[in-house]
Amino acid sequence: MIKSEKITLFHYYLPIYLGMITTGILTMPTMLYKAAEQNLWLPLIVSSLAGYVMVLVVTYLYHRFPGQTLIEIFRTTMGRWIGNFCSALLLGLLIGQAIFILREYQMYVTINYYQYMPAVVVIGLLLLVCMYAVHQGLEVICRSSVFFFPFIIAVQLITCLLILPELSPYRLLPILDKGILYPLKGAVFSFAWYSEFLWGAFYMPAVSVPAKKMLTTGFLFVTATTVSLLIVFFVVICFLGDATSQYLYSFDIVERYIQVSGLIERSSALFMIVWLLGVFVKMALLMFIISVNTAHFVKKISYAKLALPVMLLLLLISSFCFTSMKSMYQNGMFFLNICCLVGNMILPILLLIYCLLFHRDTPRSSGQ
Amino acid sequence: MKQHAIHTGKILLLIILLILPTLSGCKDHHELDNLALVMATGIDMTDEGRIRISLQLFVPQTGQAQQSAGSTPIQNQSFVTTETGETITDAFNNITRRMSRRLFRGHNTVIVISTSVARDRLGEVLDYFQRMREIRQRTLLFVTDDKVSDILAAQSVLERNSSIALMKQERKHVNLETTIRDISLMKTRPNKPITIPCIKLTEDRTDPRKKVIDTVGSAIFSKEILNGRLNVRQTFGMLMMTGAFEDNIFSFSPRDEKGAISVDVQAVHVHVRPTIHQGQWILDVDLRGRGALVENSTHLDPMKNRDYAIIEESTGHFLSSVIHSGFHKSQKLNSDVYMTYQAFDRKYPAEFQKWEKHWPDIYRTIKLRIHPHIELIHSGAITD
Amino acid sequence: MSVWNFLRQWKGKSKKKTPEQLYLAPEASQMISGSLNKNKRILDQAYQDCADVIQRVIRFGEKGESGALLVYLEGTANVEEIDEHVIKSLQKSKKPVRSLEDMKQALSVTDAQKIKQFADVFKNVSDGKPVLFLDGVPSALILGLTKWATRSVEDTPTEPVIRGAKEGFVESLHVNISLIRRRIRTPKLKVKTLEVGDYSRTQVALTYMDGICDKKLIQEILDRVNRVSIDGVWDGGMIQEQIQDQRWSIFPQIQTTERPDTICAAMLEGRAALFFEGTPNVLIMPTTFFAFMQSPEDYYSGFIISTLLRILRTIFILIALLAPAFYIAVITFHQELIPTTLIMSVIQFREQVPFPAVVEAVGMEITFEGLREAGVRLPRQIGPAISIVGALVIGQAAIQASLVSPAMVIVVSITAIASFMIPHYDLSIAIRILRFPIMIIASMFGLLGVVLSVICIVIHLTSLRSFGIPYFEPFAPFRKKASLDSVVRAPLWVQKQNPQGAHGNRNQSVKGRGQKT
Repeated sequence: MIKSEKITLFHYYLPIYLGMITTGILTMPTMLYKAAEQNLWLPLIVSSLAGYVMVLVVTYLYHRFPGQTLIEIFRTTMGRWIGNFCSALLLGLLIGQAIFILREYQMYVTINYYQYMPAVVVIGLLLLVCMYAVHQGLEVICRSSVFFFPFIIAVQLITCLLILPELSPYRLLPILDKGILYPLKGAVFSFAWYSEFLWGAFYMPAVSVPAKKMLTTGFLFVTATTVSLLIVFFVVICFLGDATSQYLYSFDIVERYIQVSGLIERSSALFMIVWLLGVFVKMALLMFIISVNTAHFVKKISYAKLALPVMLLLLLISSFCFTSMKSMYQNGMFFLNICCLVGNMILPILLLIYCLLFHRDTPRSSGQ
Repeated sequence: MKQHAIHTGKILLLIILLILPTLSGCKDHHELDNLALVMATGIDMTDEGRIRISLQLFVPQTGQAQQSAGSTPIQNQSFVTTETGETITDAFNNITRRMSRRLFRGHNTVIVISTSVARDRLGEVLDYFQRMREIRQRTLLFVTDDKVSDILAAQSVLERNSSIALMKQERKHVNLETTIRDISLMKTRPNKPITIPCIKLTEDRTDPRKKVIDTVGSAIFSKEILNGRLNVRQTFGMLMMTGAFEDNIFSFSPRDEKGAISVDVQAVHVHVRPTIHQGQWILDVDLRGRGALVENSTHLDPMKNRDYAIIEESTGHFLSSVIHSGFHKSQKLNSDVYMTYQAFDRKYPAEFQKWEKHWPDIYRTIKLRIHPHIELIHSGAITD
Repeated sequence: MSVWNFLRQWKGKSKKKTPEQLYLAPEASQMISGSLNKNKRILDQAYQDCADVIQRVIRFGEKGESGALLVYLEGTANVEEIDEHVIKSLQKSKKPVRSLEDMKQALSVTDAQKIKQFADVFKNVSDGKPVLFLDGVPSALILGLTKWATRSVEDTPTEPVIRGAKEGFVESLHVNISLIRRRIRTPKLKVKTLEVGDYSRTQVALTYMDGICDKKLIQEILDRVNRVSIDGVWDGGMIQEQIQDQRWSIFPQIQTTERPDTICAAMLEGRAALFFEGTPNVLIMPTTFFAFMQSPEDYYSGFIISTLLRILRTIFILIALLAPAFYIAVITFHQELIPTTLIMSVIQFREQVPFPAVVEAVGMEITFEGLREAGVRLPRQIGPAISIVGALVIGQAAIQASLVSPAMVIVVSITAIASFMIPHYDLSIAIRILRFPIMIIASMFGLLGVVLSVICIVIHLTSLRSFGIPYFEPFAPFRKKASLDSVVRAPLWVQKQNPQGAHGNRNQSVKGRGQKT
């Protein structure tokens, strides 16, 4: 099913990139600031290593098992029972991540724009649109993300440019005033978050490129993610300084402060628009992955048909989980970190080690 | 494939149809004619210690009235309403209860706080407005000794209402401008030094019936408690130090001269060099800027080199005296509105962390040394 | 769809006659006989109650011993030429005419073909060609002496340009093809003809450039057109609806034009064109979304101007789609977005309007659509009347009656201007229709709803294909070369010299998803 769809390498990484910067821009500055204060660039750069590692893992698996998704690789290497167990675990962890993203989106929209709209409706609307996208297939998700890409980047860049007169670069000082280890605490959080680069492994067969190119492009995208976020982080800190941690959505505050020619103010609705575009890309991709993975279990049903049940499932679970902001940012954040670390990092790395140790019988040219 | 698409389409349609009825009563939906625009909020206290809120509401005029009003000057389109309550929200709700429309504060441009509230309940006020999502980040804050409702009800000669007048007054950048975002930045510093401009209602000189809102300096807070005031000149000194100064014309008498000169001071840049020398915290300030002579009633001739230097030097001297007087005042009030804290923190992070808790004590002892370098760029269109 | 197609075919097989049986008289199976009288009897039978069929017996030879029968349709055959080249020639002919070969020699007609079956006789008479029977010979001669009434080549009122060729297609297929031939003078311009329509048997011509156009594309077009089952075809639109990839989509996946230069440019880009007898509208396929936002004039005026114009059009497409919805969302959900001084005026205007913003907006937009539709159908003489009435309905009078607010009138007017800026009517109408659901959604969910519906439209657009080419081509998927001629128009020397890049030979499956059988 997935093999019939062909996407380019750019299409392959772009939805991941867009999804990461979208959620990253919204909550990361505040979270990281609490841990690392004005040195929050350090944990970000350190944890971007996780991104490179994940790209390496994905590329190795792609190279080693051409034409197979991660779930299929689990089955072929680890046998039916363990493979199935691991795939089911992965599926559950992916659903966990999806729930958190949905709630994060809902919380943002509710706090800032729609105070009285029921959470189910806010989540349901997004899920409906995502379902439509999943139904149309991977190609469509990637293409629409290509279409949204310039808008998202343009609005963020324009925001950064317009706020320039209000910025004070001194707020970035002093550098590393509490030593190098203190800010590194924050890396735990962003570490898990960079692991989303694994998501590509679930639709690898859709691309056909040499592994080397996949690796370099992947590295490029990890770097691009880091650079984009650093720009946003610098803007936020230069604008808000120590007050960054006071605001839940600090970049939104930046957006709200912008004033064009003394007239147009509170352009944060513009920010919401592009943010929604990004969240749609991320959610549609995740829902697609979940549907495809479910399709592996329920044989003979195409993932497009599974989009509806998956949507209903997500809607159902998300209406019970993390209903308040406190539960979301305390329990939910912990939960998300676990989901990401286990599902996106530990399991695949274990698989990689297993393959390296026990599955040397299918030799290919040792590119890695 | 295709058949299946139609199938899902039907289900989708069904779901949408099911969801739609639940949304008919969506409460986020507000027609414009159900909104009352709050243009300004005033907060003061009754004698019994209850919070009193005054709101300046925008009064829309009907089309006909507006058309006829086209020839006459802009009418005052506002209405002030007042209510008391235990807390701000309580008072606000009391107003809401007797209004036919929903109060909308997304266009609230001004918050006026009376000195009685500012004296010890500023924290409450700030918390309320920072938490409020409708309030703009650029909302301006003011402190006044007068009755808050009088300020809001004051008729503006040029603008539609007093809040817009206040807003535009501030936009000219000749005064201190404190927004909600500035407050949140100031609140992060030790001792929470906050400055808010002070306004006063005065009678118009020529027409005593009309009232004019004057800026009379700035209120200084520490730990969210009103401590004292800076006058207008001292406020300028503070603005120069914090980098918010744009331009202003200062009039003063140079040393050993009769009469006065007026200099338009622009492009002021401050470079701060903090040093800690044997326990003495010293702040060296390089004050660079440009001036233009706009008025001269002295015998100094700006075409002569010597007099030129005198003008430059005396301008610098005047500016540093302005800064000094304000700084000493702030040291006395123990409110670090000059933001010296950041300068030391950036240069001596280690020492600073050690002394952070005792910052109020250190602040009193900081020695300020100003080295002005003012350059006179021109002296107007005449040659003497 | 496949089952549906299958059902239809199966049904057709059991009940319907074949197309041949439908349009031909029952006598068609007969062979032409040697006896003129017998032939005449058959013709009389077939053309019973056909007053416009002229049958004329010509006696010639020295003693009038030879007989010939001429059959033609009144008004379609060129009577002057028949008189001049057939009747007079025959009567003047000195040699005896015993066979068709003799007759061909005797006639001064270039196009003369021999046929033996009555089926061919009926076909050619319907095509406007006179048929000549000769006594004693069991076959007949078709004479290519047709003269259909046709409009002369005029400028195109539907796609006017300031610069560039003014002439447009007419209702005659042959004239239209000749207009193309005149512009592309190479034998590589191929013209394939086929017939569509069970009764109308409309002539259809598929033109393409050999070597530039993908062979698979031609085959696919022919397959799809042949698969169409329809009684008569009066315009390309009737076929377009049935051969496009996604039949249920509101967006046109085949472009129509009346301009020869547009067709020529498209063919040089590797596309194919489908001409129909009897209509000036020609179909271009495959096409992309951005082709609908381009005017042929873009290539004639300078590239800076055309780039700016195209960007302007893109912005106005967004306005046409979203302006009313955005207005509703902002007015009812996000009042903080409006500048303070503006919202003060808007509130004053809205004060007297009794309706909610969405009712006001939808009502005004429907009124405008009505006005526009009335303007199209109106006889030309009453034209000014509708504009006067229109100005009253959408204008000062409506505001003074407190039915609408001035802001709404401005929004409606801008939307109207924007929808007229889209060069192609097909796309413009699609955008205008989509505006309404977005407005309703905006009134329920505000900007959230607007954004999500835009996302839905983009998903739909990116999932569309036109004969295998992704509909949103140069942007999603992004193609650098093609994007030089999309929203921007790069200078012609920068664009690739060899035009094959755009839509020509590519390893792409031409088969669309909707057409799998």
